[in-house]
Amino acid sequence: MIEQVEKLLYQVAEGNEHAFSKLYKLTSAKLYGVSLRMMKNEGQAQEVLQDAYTSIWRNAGVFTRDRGSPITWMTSIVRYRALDLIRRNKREMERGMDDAVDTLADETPDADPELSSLRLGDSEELQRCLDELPDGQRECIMLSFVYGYTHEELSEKVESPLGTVKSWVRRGLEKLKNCLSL
Amino acid sequence: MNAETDNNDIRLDAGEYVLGTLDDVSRARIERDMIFNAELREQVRKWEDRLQPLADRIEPVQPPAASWDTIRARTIGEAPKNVLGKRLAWWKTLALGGVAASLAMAVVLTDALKTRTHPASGQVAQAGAASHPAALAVVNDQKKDPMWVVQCYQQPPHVMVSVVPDEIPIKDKSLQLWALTKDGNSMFVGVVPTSGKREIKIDPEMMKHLDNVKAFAVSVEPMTGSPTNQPTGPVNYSGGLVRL
Repeated sequence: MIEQVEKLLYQVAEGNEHAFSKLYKLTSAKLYGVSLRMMKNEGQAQEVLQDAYTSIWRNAGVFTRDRGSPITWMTSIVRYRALDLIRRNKREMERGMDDAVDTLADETPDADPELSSLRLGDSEELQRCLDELPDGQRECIMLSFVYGYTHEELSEKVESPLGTVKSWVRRGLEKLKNCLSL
Repeated sequence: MNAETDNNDIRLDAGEYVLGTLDDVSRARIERDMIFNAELREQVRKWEDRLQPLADRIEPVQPPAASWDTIRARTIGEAPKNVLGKRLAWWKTLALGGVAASLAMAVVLTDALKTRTHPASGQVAQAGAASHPAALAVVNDQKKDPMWVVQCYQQPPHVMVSVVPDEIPIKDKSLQLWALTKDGNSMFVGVVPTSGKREIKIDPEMMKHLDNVKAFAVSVEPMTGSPTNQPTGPVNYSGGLVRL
């Protein structure tokens, strides 16, 4: 699949609309899944998806093989767009915009059970490294990556003080970095 | 703080950026730093790559058909942008890659200018900029050796391009300077010299876009110049812009 996506991206960079359509069919369910998990709201997940594919169409030429896997590149576009929107929602909440508050409050799932479904195969290097982390560190890292939580949101989710959560994220990343030889 | 500590902090900052835990200010800082810091960019890319298996485990969900309709409406008909896609991509990469050395040099020059002009005010780029540049870029070749220093002046609007080595050994070709904007577009600035220095007058309208310029690049064109208003030859030189 990776080779096919890479080939399609190169064609999209040339303005090939048919290739873009094929790329969308091949990857949109995966990217929408990521978007939906982060936004927790279908309307905003679709907004993220639409923005991401618009960006992919415009910037396909930016992708080069040394940039890594094309799937990772596309997933990152979705995640960063979702993070932008999550931050915007948060700012609006803080300004007291009730609709944003309602949307988020109603649709934020209980995250913990969801994380178990993300368990990778035991042979996966990342899983082995995550398993070596204390529970709090592992949970914070996974929750932030999958749901885009800030430190403050993590603090609420795991019911631990903000300073503790910040420290867990940092220490967890430090251990992951060493374990993954980054 | 030693270099090893700095490198470790960069790796962890990159990790937090990819996770999404940073607040708005820190996030914006990392995005700004990535323009100039190749190590930081590389670390972000590595974290993206190593954490991707978590995203791969998320169950796919088929989006509603209306999403594709919206995307299609937004993108189809934009084909002309993509004709330049690959070339823009390449010099986007150039502009973002290999600027660390130029940044270091620019900072040295900036400090030197500030020391020489307004020792304590830090207002070099403000009013009274008649003789002081508002921004500066060191344009490097692909080995990251500095080739030109480009100084941008607001009053009157012009850039001063100085060749760093004694001479750049290119014959029968024209070297054209382009300003690269944050949104991926390019603006022709002028032809750069292969020795000495040259002043290039800038349209005041173009100068207004200085805030949106993130880097300069130089393409190698026929002696008659690029036949389009975009670079057609190889873009072999680039350097990030530093505002003073």
